[in-house]
Amino acid sequence: MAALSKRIIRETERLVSDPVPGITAMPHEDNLRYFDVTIEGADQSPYEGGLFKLELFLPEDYPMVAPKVRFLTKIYHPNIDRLGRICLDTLKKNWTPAIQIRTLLLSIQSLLTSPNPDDPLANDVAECWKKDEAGAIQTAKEWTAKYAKKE
Amino acid sequence: MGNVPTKEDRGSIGSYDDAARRGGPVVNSLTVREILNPSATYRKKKYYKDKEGLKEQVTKDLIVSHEENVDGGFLAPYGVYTHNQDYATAIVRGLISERRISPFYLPLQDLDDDWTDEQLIKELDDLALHAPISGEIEETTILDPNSKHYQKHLQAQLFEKALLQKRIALQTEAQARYDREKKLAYGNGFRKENIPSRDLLLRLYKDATECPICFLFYPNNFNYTRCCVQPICSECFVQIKRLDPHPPHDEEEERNQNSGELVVPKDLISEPAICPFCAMPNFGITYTPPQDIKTGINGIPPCDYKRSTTKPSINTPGKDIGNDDSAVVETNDTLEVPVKKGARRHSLPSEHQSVISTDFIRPDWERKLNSARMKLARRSAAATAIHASSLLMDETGNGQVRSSRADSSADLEQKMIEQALRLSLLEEEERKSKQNIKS
Ligand SMILES: [Zn+2]
Ligand SMILES: [Zn+2]
Repeated sequence: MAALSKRIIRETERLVSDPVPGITAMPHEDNLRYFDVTIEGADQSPYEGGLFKLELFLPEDYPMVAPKVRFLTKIYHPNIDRLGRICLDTLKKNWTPAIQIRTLLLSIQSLLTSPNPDDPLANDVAECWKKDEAGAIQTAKEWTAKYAKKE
Repeated sequence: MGNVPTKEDRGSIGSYDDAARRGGPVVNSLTVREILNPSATYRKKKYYKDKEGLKEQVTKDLIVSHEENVDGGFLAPYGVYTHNQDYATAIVRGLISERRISPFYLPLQDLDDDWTDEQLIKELDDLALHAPISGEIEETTILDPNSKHYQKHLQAQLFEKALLQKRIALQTEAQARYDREKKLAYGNGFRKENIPSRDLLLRLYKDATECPICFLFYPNNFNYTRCCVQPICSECFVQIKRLDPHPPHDEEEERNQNSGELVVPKDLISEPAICPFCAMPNFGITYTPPQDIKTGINGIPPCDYKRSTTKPSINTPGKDIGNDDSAVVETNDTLEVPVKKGARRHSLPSEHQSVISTDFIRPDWERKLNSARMKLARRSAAATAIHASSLLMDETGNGQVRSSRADSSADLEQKMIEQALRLSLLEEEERKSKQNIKS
């Protein structure tokens, strides 16, 4: 493993000392490229009151390639599949090296407020979302209460 | 192996096609091996040799030598990034020598405004020409001695190892030469042409500025993005490239990997890189060299640089280029870096003569796309061939050939011919683009 770049060191310092409201990101002591992340579900969203755990890994050629991010907490969302993988352009074709970890986590947070069932990763969830939005939102709320309870 | 195709055979592929349309007995004359890989036999050896030669040259090009300097910077990167050093080193070296992109400067990890000149000089003196190079080959795959490509892969691995050793040795030598001359120049007052004067170092690093991508401090003559006029160091610029060839949608790729279904080769795409700051397609940069420095290649020896008494002009990107009033300023509220005073205020079109694009320094993107398409075509040809031969076997085993069955096998034959044809066209394109790179 190559030494940590100055950029990763600076980003980490800032994430810890000046965190984004509703988001925490802490590097593992034994692997500074691996972060434990939490995101609070936004108010007025089906995920309100939930605390979602994610893992984030910085590949060796970060920031030329996007971080790898995955939800660990079960979540009912059309753009997040059963394995916690996230369908977000910022993580794929719209990634650029000027985007930082904090910006990326912010866009994941806002994905929770505005699900996009037309560009789904979890097809079954997206189907429900389109057919019966109220029902889907209800399920999302139930899952939030069941799996994403704050300790 | 009796039917090794020759160049002449490839030229006559059109007649195969005609014969196929007339329903002639063509398939028998083409072995599956030929369909899968028509011209590999006579070309592969030569190609590998060229590739090794090229890799050796690139290894040499990536050595930072203080003798090769331009305006206090160098022709090879410091090594902030260990990946993606697959840009055309010869082109980038040329562009730096012509002062069309910023040279690779040694980066400072930090810069303190309170440092005295002595402290700054000391910090610079402590910098090595290159970041430490790891002697380990990344993720060496364990080779299976029973695999039929074992020898070839083993050889390739040994070659990579030798190349890395060579690179470490060359960089160590370059560093030793630099240290020796520095000692003679700074310690004993000898005139060493390629050791920068104190004036030059202070002129460059006094107002060093952080690159918004790597967060390292460089002299304030950055490249500027053509679209939104943001600074970017050359080390970061040469990292930015097209994505590898991929199907139009990421999801498709995953689906195909799972089901074994094949994407049509010509559908594979590779889009030009986007600007990291404003996401404008066709990323490119411009560079205006400092007006008061011209040292090293095509300039005066860097040891002779004397700071003029007049205040040096601040780097003004595009001062004399693209004064086109119709150009539009791209505004973007996510920008965190203020545009430098005196900077070009408007964007330039990607075709503008002063713009260096990511494709310009990686002209092999087209060859890469073609070979990815080739690979896919081979895979799908193999799938069809296997399918076809199993059907033919089925027929002979059966003894009686029903007409509908015969039709479908004729269809398959037709398919195989079409694929062979497509393959040879792709190979031809691949060959041409390889030739273009060499010439
Ligand atoms: Zn940079
Ligand atoms: Zn831009």
